[in-house]
Amino acid sequence: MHHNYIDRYSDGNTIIHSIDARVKILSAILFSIVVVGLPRYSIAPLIWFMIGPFTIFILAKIPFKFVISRIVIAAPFIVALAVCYSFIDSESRQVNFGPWQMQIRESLLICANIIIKFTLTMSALTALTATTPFSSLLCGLEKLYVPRLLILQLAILYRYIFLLIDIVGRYLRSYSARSLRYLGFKREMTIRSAMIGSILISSLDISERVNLAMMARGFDGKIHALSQEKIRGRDFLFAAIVCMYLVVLKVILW
Amino acid sequence: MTKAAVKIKDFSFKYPDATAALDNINLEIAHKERVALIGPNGAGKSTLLLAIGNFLKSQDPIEIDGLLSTKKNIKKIRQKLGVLFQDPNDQLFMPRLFDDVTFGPLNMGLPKEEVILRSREALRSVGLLEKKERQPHHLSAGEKRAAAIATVLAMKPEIITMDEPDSSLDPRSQNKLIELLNQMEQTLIIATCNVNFVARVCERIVLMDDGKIIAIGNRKEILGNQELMNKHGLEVPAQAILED
Amino acid sequence: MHMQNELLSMPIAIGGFVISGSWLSYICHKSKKAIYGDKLPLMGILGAFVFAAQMINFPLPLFPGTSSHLIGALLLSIVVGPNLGAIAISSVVIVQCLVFQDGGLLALGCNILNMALVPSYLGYWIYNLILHNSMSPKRLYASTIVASIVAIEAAAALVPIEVSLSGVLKVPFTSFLLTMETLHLITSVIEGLITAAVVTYILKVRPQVINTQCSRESSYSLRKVFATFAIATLIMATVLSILASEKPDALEWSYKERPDQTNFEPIVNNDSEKIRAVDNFESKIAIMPDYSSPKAKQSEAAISNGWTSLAGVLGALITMGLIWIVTTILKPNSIRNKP
Repeated sequence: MHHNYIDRYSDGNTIIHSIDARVKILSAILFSIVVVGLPRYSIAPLIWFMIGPFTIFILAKIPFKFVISRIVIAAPFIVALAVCYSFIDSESRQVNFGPWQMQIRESLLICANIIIKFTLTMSALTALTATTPFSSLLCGLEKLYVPRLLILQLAILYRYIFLLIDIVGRYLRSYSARSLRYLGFKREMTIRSAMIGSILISSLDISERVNLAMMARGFDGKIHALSQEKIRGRDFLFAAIVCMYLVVLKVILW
Repeated sequence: MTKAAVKIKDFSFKYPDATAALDNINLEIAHKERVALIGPNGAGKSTLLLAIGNFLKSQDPIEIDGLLSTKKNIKKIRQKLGVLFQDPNDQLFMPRLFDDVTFGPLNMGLPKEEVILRSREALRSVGLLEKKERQPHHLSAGEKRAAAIATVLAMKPEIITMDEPDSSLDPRSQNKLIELLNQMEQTLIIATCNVNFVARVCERIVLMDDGKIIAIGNRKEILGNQELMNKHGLEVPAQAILED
Repeated sequence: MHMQNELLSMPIAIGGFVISGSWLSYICHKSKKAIYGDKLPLMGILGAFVFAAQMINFPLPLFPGTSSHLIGALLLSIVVGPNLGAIAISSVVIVQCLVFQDGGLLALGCNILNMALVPSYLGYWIYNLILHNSMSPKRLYASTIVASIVAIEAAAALVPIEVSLSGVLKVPFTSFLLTMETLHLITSVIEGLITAAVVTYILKVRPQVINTQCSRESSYSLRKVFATFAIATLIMATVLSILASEKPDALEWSYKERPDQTNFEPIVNNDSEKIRAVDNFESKIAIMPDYSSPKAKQSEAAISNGWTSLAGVLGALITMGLIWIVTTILKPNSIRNKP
């Protein structure tokens, strides 16, 4: 089974991929903070913030279709909320856009503002995760003083998602090969719960064997890490560009 | 006097649910020897490997290179003895191959340069150096096996135990594995039920069944003995391999 | 239930990080011995298990074409105890954010709190209260169902609370809360059923893996259970009514002038359902369902402003009634099963 759809683009070879994970993580966080902190009614200037993620997608050769599908998947909850909000009565505001002038309800403005901001921060997060392999992401987080215990946790979790998903896939296939009709809620429920139960038991077994394998290689509870990655010139450059970009936008537009 | 690599005397083991897994095992393995444990499923081969690897809680002591298996010695023993588990997926638990290979050397407390040197060397010897940044789930079955061997080799053990290293490999991967094993200088203890594989790697054979050692001998004596092999649910390897 | 950055204000987002960070490090510290002993790979692999288990869809009865799946917090708490379970589910939430972009980076702290920490502990606590050391099938089902309803509804309630406290999006608090609760009701019942069935299966196949250590320690009397519940619900109901009525300006923006309130729920549903149809490729690895069914929520669309706090109190009373009925039915069983 192929799991490429999960981390399809993170193994790329572009300049963006080669930038240190720490720098990328901090940039994404900074970008999100700046965007979330922008005024609540403005809409048009926000488009300037799209340029950053956009450039990264172009440089890293991430197809926009992928980015859009990522954003759409995450959207329902916040879009629903924002749209509900837009129906609330509120004062109108004068909006001037080029030759056009219109009266728009404040709540509608906020709704649009939130959806756009969401698109922006989501693009930043997608830009981060789509250009950084998960292991580098973890290395970066570790350098940023996230506890090693958590890092090792996440590493193991990520590693075994694929293995366990394969097991589930096999169960589901062998089940659908033999179940020819809907068996009624109770029966279906029991069967599926039994599947989950047996996957849980195999997970427990795997964890026991992995524990043996860790002990066999001298693991004694202390987590050692090999930090190879050093911040290089291009990382500084990237960080500088991101900061400049955000500062300039913030100063010019507001 | 040289110490034996592995020395087991009157070793017995019962699982908590009271099934006897090992019954009165006596075995001595010299340094640089390549020994195969063969036998049908459930014969106790894997349990014996676990016992040698000091993973079983048992009173009966086992000597690894002259070190008794006590709590005090466990760290030293772990450095001398590398263990290759049956499923490489259990052994490759990090998201990146290189992290997996460095895991052992880092635990040994080696300096970083040494860790990197050893890990690269181990990966090169199994032919996976250019794939060190890969994620384990992107490797093929044969590559996973080789990668698991690299994680053991990076610790430079003197003795390596392997549990069914040939399982689920296609003939080409098997040939590669055999080539690799024949180049290795460590003491190898290999448990398997694939006699054709064993005949091409090991000189000394230990036949097990029902938790007991049935026979110990060189490969022609044991593998060539049709009656003995059939009695314990095994087959005789092709004659050409035996003569080899 | 994953929250996005834009719903939270900075103080709340940071507060979320501080609370869940310190909570997690406290658990790690407390269960250090187990973790560094032999449980280190266990939690990571259980996290992976949650992802895998979420691939198995449970078709919902009554609503053809819809399905639900396991969330897992309660199940892991029952199997490995709430400490390790909470760590595992927290890792799941982090990976969902970093790999699948579910929930924003800044909202991660609050998301961990809502979806991992609160449900794990609350669910486990209620499960043990009701299970009360007996393992009869009826009691098992009753306790997991009640536990998962409380745990998931509490998690769902945290979302509007955090959003309201942030004040970025001033959606009417009570209706937001009611919507969230109704949306999650069916999911939580199904979650309870699945959890009970999985636990039953494991008890049949390999009983020794279920963590029974903690449940032995907690021998509460049923009276205590009732007292706790009564007090908790009263507090909840009071707080909610105060929030809903006394601070219309802070929490409910233009509370009085909302004759269009009735539009509120249908809009949520239609829109989310529509968008949901778009992302059919999420079906490969669907993460925590935010929606359960189209029919369930229409009944409460009629409930308007003034009625909401009354409904809250009534709901609390009904819940208490239900728990009372469940426990009285099970009483003879528990006595029989006691050693």
